Amino acid sequence: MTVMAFDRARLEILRTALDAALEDLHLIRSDDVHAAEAMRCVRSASRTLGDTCIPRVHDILTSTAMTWYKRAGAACDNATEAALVTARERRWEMVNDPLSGLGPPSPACRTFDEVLHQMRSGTLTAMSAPIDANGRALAHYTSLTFEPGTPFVLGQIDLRSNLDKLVDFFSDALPVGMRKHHTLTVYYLTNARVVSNVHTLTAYDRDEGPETDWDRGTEATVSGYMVIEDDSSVAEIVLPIGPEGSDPTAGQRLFSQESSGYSGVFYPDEPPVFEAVNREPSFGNPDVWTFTTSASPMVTGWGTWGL
Amino acid sequence: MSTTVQIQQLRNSARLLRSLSRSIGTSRALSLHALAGPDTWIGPTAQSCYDQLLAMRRQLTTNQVSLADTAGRLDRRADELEQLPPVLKMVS
Repeated sequence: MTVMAFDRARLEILRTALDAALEDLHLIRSDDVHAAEAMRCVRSASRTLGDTCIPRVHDILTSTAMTWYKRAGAACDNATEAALVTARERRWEMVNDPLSGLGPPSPACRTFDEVLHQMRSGTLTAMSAPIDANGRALAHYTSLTFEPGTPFVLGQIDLRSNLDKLVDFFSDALPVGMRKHHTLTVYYLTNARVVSNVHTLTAYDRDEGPETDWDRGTEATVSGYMVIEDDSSVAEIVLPIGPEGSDPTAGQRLFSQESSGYSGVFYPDEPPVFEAVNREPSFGNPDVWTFTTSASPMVTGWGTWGL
Repeated sequence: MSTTVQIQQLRNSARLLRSLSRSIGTSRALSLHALAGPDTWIGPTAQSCYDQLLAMRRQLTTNQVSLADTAGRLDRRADELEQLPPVLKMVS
């Protein structure tokens, strides 16, 4: 357990100072051969500020996460140093550093291409798939819910066929249109919470969701690569408005039907260790993805495990 | 290259390096660490950021001094060339 805290006003001042310092460094230029080493140092300093410090400070200031924390009780008696004074006045208890997921991922993080290559070659090992009920009524199945904080996007590719792209292009100007989005995105998650819930395969109320055995839920903190395949399509009929020759994309939408879904797999840096879910009220990031296996009943907002 | 041109180049280079050294020395990047201490934020990420700012300051300061030293060396070399007798200046 460690303690973290920040003073928003001072952090705002730090952010302004970081921006100003970066501006100063950008103005320092020289192509003199004797200044080569100094210029390398200036560029390195610019990277430190621009790629690491500024994003972290910015993310903290714009994050709502801190408003979710449970305020820590009195524990710091020896408040003689500035750190302890800050801690006494503005501190939160935490198990993991929630800010480690903010800003850029660690330098050891793989690139988008490396992740795809290692997925195909089998170098990366996927997390165990959720248990499938195999369609048997009253059998148990599991879902995996990821609460990643701020996932870092390593890269994205468009998986649409050329025909789909063509249809999308012409849909801008035609009264009947069909737009498809099919992308593969790789995120890097740092210290994300993953919860495995146990459900019973029954008919369920759409509002209440599937039957869940809350006592059997387990959770783990994981870091690694989340590969998500998003597939959505919108079919629409638009009535053009305005005189001939006006903007062809302007019109009254008469009919629109959307469908969307996603599937994905998570590749953890280290095998996760699942423990019973702690039901104590504490900070929690909103859940972003919930996976189950394709044979299980699909809840609105859930995705399929596997690509 | 004539010695006069060489001397002029050494002087120009020294002046530029001094100017660069001053720019680094007056950069606001050198005072960031004072704003990123434990009275602003604490925690593992804050400590890591503070350490990076300190390391960055150390490197910039080292290079600032190094540039001033190099400028001094170039000026001394220009002085030496200026003090050479005219005959030797032709040879060098």
